[in-house]
Amino acid sequence: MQSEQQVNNAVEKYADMIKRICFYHLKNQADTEDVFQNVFLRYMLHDEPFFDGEHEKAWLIRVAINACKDHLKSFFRRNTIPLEQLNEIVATVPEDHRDVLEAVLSLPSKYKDAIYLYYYEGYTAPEIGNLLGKKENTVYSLLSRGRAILKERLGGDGIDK
Amino acid sequence: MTNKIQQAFDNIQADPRLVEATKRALAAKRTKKSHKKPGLILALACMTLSFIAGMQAYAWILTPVSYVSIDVNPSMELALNRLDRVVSASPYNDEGAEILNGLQLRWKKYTDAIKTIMESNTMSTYLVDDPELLFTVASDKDREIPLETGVTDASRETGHSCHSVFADMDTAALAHDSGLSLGKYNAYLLLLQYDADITIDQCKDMSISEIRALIQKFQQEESLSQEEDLPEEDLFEEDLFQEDLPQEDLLQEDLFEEDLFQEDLFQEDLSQEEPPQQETPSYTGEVYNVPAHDQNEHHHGGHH
Repeated sequence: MQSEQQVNNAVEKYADMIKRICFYHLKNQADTEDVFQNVFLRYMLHDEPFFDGEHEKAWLIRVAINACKDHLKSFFRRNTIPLEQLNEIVATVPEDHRDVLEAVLSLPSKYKDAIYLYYYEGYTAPEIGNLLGKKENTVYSLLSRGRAILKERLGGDGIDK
Repeated sequence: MTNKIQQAFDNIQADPRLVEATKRALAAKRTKKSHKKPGLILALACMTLSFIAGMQAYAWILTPVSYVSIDVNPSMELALNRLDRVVSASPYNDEGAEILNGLQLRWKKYTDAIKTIMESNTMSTYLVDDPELLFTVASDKDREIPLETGVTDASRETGHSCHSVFADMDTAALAHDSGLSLGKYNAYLLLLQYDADITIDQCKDMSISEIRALIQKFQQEESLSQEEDLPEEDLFEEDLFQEDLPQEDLLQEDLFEEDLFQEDLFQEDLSQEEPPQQETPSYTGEVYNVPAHDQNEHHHGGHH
């Protein structure tokens, strides 16, 4: 088990990141909160020490992605999400950024992780391959295809500008 | 230089309320035993129970209680469960294997299975001369008539005349042990009355029509010598056949010979140090290696 201080530090440090990962997988507030707590609970119960900050971060990302997938598959998950809730998180965001968020949300799930980890967290393709358990080439394909879809949905200038 | 995704996702942040609530919840859990989802044990127990129940139901539904043997030239046999659905289909010669190859008959109602067989491409070559099909049905008394009716109707629907014959389950067991299909074994028994020297091996190599031709020949000879008018209907007319069914003592005599034969088989196996079942020819379906009453033993044996 991680110490209380370690846990609190981790929650502070990575709260936004976990929230984001939950958000683009689960899309609604209630599920996000459930999984958010679950991820840090697993962190707390994890017995091995982490090598360094990078290792810790990568571990959390993996756990979060897995937790989201499990939650989506889970029998106990609420089956219907009211339409208002679907956008409740997006609604808090300034208008200019809503399109981007909705475009990413609408990506098929296999692209979302690659896109988020590359364009937001700044991981390289090989690192993403390690994180997701995929080959490097696969990651490149996911990235280029995901990017193409986003470009289609967001219009000409794509992601960079 | 930030990109659009960074700018957009920068807006997604964890509510401080959520952060604090999480810290508190984790601190509380720290003092408790580690949290299990409610009912996990119960769920596992239910799963195990339903798995076992499922296995038993599966065994129950797989147990053959009747057999329908189809012999034209191709020789094959369907094993039916108590719901009259096919649990296995076994060929008893090359032609039978050819026909059954690629056909999905499992779980079909036996009438559908028969139709599927009759309508298959490979079967059509054997039906060209409109030969008389022989269906042999082995089942318990209650099912006999419905099965026979179903079989006859199914055959008629595909436009072929057929004859169906009853056999009992003991005969079926003997047939399976011998490596002949039920229909052929029945015919063998009949032939045996006329020719005591006929062996199962010889019958294996003969087609059902050849066996029937032999029987007919014997019967004709008999009729000539007895100057009796044998009914002109086909030999496999039900009542005639039953009349010719070996009388009880006769049957036991046959049984005795049968045992001798099997004894030889067994010795052969000993020398080759292979389990007897391996020695039976390739056309016995694997299900039939274990007679019905043995299946329970088999089943319990597996539950360790």
